[in-house]
Amino acid sequence: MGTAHLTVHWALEGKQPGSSDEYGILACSRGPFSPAHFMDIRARYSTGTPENLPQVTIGWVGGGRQDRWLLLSIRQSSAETDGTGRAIAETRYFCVPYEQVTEHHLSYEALHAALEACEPVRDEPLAVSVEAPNIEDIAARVGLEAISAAALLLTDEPVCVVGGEALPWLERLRFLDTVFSLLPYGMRTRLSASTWTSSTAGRWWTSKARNECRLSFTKHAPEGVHSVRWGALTEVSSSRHDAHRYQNLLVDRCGQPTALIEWLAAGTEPMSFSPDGRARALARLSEFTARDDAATRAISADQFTMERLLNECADFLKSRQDGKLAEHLDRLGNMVSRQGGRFFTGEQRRYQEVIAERQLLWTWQDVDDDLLFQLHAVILKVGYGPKLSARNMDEILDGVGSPGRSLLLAMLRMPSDAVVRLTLACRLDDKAELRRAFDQHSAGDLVNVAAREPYDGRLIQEIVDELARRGSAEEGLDIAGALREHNYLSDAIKALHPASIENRTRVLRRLLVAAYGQNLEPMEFAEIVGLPPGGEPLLAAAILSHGAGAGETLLQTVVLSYLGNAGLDPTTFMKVKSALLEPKLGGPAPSDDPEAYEDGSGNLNAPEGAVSRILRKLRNPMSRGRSVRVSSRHGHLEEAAGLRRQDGSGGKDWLPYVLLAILGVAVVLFFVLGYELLKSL
Amino acid sequence: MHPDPGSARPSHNIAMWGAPGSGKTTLLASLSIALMRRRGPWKIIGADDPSAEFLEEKSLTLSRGEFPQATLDMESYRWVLVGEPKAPERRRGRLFGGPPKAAPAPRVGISLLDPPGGLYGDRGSVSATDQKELLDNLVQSRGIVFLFDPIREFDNGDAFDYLYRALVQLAKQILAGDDHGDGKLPHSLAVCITKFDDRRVLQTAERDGLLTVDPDDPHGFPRVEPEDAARLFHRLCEVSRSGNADLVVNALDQYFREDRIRFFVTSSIGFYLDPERNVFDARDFQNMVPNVTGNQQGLKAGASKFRIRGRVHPINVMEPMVWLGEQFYNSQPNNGTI
Repeated sequence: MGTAHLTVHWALEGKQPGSSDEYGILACSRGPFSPAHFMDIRARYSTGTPENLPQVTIGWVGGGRQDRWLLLSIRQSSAETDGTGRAIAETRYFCVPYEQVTEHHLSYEALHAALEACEPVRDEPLAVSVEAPNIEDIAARVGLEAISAAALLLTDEPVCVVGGEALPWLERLRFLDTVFSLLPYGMRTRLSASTWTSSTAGRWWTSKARNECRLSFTKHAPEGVHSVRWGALTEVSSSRHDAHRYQNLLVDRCGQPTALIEWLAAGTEPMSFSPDGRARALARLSEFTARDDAATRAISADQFTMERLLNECADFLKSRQDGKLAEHLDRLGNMVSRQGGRFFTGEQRRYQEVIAERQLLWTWQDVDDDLLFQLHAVILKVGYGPKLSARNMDEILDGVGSPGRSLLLAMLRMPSDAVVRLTLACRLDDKAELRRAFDQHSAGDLVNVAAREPYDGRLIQEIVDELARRGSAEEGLDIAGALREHNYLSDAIKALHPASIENRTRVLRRLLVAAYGQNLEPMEFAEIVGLPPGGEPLLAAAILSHGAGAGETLLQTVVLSYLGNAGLDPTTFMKVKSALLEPKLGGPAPSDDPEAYEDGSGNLNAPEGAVSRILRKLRNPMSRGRSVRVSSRHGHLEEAAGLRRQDGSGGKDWLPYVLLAILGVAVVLFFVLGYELLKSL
Repeated sequence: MHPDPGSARPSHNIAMWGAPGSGKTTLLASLSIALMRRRGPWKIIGADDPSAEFLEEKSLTLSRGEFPQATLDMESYRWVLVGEPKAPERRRGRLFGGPPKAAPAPRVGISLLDPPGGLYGDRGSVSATDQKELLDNLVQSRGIVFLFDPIREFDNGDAFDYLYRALVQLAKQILAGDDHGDGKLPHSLAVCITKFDDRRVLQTAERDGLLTVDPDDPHGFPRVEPEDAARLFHRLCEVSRSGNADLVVNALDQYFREDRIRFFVTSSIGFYLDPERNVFDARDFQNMVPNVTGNQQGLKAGASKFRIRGRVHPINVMEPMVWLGEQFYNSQPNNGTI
């Protein structure tokens, strides 16, 4: 509370009694406003011919930093008549320096009360003292209509209140104060309002004044004017983005109306109804919540601007205003660049909601390809930049149903990791893009991507093909290491061919060839088949108990029995059996599927074996890290490699390892079957 | 609720033009009553709620014996003139002519601007914003209702001032190009000689032998035949206080095509009728009388100095609008809704 001391400039409009002249300025104070100025002010705020008086109209004048004035005019009946006998209405105009009202957040009701009683002396400006308003009084009047009207003003279009004809003029003025109190105080530098405006006063309702907004009571809503019905909440259309958001925020926050009004009143920095001004108003309102709730972060004006631009992009898409769309995209792109692609936590979540809701990443028909790509590229930056994560990629792809080429390309051009890049390149169905993506990643990356759940059958197939190609290009060790980490992609390949064990076998065979070459060395075989630790003594005991021929027994009764139950077709099974039981003659393993050897490794005279490849890799310092890492998880391979390094011969002492591997399998099966048997008993 | 104007959106602008107090708003206010009292093919309806309500409310105001308030700011109304449907025609080329073809009622959308009369006057006392808007509207208009107030002309003699300034600006805007080869404005101009109910105007017409009575008129109101209206106009110009009224005649001839000017002798409130006799009485016909409501201290705030004594019988109020509507309607290649 307090008192503001104002210097007010004034003018009196009317007619000389008995005159046949038109209305004009009869007197005004000396100072910055001449009678011509006041005539312009009168024209600007013409509210039509009034039905009932008095009538109070509010406005603004000037606009420069040192030249901002609030206007208040009071029109009243007089007992005088003009030359044709018609009653003369008198109007008094008061211009108050904006800076003088901000400290005490003066209300229009308070201004009116002080100014109405003033009697001008000659041409002197008025010296007026005005009591600061009681905010609680204003807060007590916050209702549905006020919230609706305040929000609708953020459409930057005129708003009328209908159904309030019966209210006394002072109640209407108080309502205008209440509405304005729900906006940052600085917006009063661009607000005009009236306690009554004729529905046929064309200029008031179609004012083209830039970034100002108008509110008034009237009888009928003129065409194209937003209307608020007295006593009701008027839902703001979601297509009016800023206003809609403002209404939602107001509804959320008006639980403490006094504190809210005080907070908004403190925002005295002049604000217009331009898009930037509206974003600042939204930010100001959102900050109120942030004061009370530390967990709720205030939203910056830029964020509201970004959200509005997104919504407007969608509007332009629908209405096919390509030029405006391109301009908005440039603005969005610049905003993202200006903030260095950085976003606050949760900021992008809101953008993502808008993007999904307004279908901004959909493939819009009839939109030029370049523009569509620009749209998708910019929208992705805003909603999902700077780096596109796999989770976001999945969300986008799920959301749009069948993504178009433009979207996939735009996503592919974003910084991302292997999973995203390879998935998108594969979805694009573009060999060149896929090749480019493959070339950026190691074999290990490819295997990692193939092993990612949920499995992408088409991508797995492409990766298998690529690995097969790389195997022949001598990247086998990397492939082997990566495959081992993911159990040779067994699960992924099962997803690729769920119904055909034959196909799974063929694909796995291709991977093994890619990783190890045509012929598995014994230690490689052991590496693949593997044995779980802990069963060694039992296995040794069983072998000793069996005595000579234990190996053959193991092969016959355990391994072949196991494979026989796997569902292999008879031909494949016979080949497996043959490979298991027949003595090695020095040639490569038989190839049953030419397609599986795209790289030409079906050549009977493969130039280099797996072991020599391993040794070469071990000697290569660049690949040592990987080799050591892999070996550390598989001590026996390290040991085997070490043996090779010691003798360097590549002799035929691999047989024990093969037998050990077979025995391992047998032991596992033995335990499993034994356990099952015991359970059944 | 007002009748649905249907698809007839206002498409023809009409501007009211006249000095302050010449009766522009009162003429519009009496349109509804004129419509009800007049038998004719055309009627006028509001194209939106505010415009429809203006017709309704202002007629109530007049019926209460009150004049409308002076126009403070520009007002605009959107109305639709609806005519009688044409007689059904039989279709040719079909067996027995086929069923009669439905003939839609002709409809003319009009958007009417009612500015304060002062806007047509001295530029020094009017804001540039107002004048520009008025001029823009006149440029877009194709019809003008020009009100010539013979009483004001007799007292002040400033009709020419309120015509010429705006007319010169309008001509500059429209005739500067080559679009109008005849050098005339494209507007149709309905010149309304107002306040026919005033004793001085009636007596001038009587002295010149311009008064007639329609034998079918049960009230026996005096009237001036349409072809004599121009003569009365010239005659009234001669008694102008300033002697400049002949310039009005010259200006109209100079700027408007002769076939697009028509004169109407009008009265928005008409003559007083004794309720019992219900016939025009040449000794007691003044319908506008001083407003004495028993308040010895003077008028209460907002009250007019005059009031309407009896019922309102508008004279030639619909006719200018209908004539302009017909001008628009006939100028369209495909008559129907325009």
